[in-house]
Amino acid sequence: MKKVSVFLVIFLTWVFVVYTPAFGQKSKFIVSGYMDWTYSWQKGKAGTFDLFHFNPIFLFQIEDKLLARAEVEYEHGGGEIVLEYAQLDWFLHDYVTISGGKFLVPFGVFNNKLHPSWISKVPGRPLANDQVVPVGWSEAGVMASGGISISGYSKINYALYLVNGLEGAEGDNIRDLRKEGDDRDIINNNKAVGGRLGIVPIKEIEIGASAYSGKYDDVASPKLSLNLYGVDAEFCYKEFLELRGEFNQADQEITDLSAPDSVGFLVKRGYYAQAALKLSPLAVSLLNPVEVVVRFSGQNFPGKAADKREVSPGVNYYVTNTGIIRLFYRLNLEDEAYKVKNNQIILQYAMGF
Amino acid sequence: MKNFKITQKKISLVIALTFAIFLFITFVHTTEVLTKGKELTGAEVYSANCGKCHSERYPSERTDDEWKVIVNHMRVIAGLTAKEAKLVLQYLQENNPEE
Ligand code: HEC
Repeated sequence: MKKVSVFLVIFLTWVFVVYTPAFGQKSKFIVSGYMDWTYSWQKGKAGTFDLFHFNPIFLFQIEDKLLARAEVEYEHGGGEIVLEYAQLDWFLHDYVTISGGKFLVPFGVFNNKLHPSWISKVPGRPLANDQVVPVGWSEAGVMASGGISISGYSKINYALYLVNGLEGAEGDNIRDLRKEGDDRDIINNNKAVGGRLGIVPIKEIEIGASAYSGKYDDVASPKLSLNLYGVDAEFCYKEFLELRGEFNQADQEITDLSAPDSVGFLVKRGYYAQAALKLSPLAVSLLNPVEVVVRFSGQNFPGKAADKREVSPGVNYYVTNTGIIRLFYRLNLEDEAYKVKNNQIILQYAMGF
Repeated sequence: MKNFKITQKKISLVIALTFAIFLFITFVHTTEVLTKGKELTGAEVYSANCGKCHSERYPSERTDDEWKVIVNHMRVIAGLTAKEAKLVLQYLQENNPEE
């Protein structure tokens, strides 16, 4: 199925390129995307190179108010191929854009705004966006989104969506509730709703709140609810200082009350905080392209076995504005009784194009 | 359609969010009328938004026509207002050395 969809995208691309003139002068086609390769090293394991991502993005401006776009993700040198998203954005009104297709779910900011490797300042996803809110998470459905100016720099932006939703077996890892390959939900009519509201009070700050609600048991009459809540905040000061964080919580209903800490719900929490400082203000030419970054993230689950934290300090060297060499040390901290030696040294080259 | 479950919780969520958006739009219109908000320039919109998620992308990187497509792409991802998108596009095109 996956291969079929990839061929379909390539075929459609070809059709669009060849027949673009048929849409008139206004039709525009662009390829962008990103790639990265890493070398990761962990004590007691083989160090390995990995062409982790090669993700071409196809953008078609069909006419002034219609944008079609798709991203194909080739992971690990092509071992895993997925259609990350394919959507049509219709700029219906100044305040409302309607998107349909399969899109990255706008929950918090990491999933749809930051996860590409040339953008996220630290290699690998934070623990808030692994088993609590899965990343990358795309869904088939419809969405309304937009931005509304208040005055000067202050504005709000919003996204509201109706999607097939996360589904799987009772109590499953949330990551495993994503639909892999086939985006349909042919088991039941249950849909999930969600949204995010972002507020920009002054140009340096954005604060957002997200929610998602649906049933997740993949049976004809699903009963078990999955509700996700999240808050995110960012502070960007003049191109060189960036502070950001997210807190996410999942309330996953279960019927098995013998599960640890259970009150009918598995409550899963995750968070991250990240600080990045570019050294360009020092005006030392050698340090101009350097950025120092540290990320702290954690997950707090029912049952201590899954609790963990991660601290990743590192440096980014900007070869160009979108080509970055990163060197990071990822310290993985499990709960005392479950400690394993899995700290990693990661060297990455990421490039947006 | 026996199993089409639109729970009360979902309905209240949608209603609450719609209501919140409605309130904001009303609020925005009122403040816009009252304060006649300071008009931003394209350069200001660019510098406040385009280096926020990823490092800044220079006007010279793409052609004027390509910027139109990309700014629409960013409008959806970054939740830019229609006005911001217009101003930023103008800025990128006017400062594109090759065009
Ligand atoms: C909210 C975060 C965010 C903001 C703000 C933002 N971008 Fe982006 N930008 C992205 C993401 C994410 C991508 C990668 C696209 C993808 O994965 O679909 C991207 C990709 C791009 C690309 C590569 C071409 C493409 O469209 O894929 C260019 C050029 C670009 N952005 C320019 C800009 C400009 C100019 C602005 C200012 C209006 C801007 N960006 C603001 C998140 C952002």
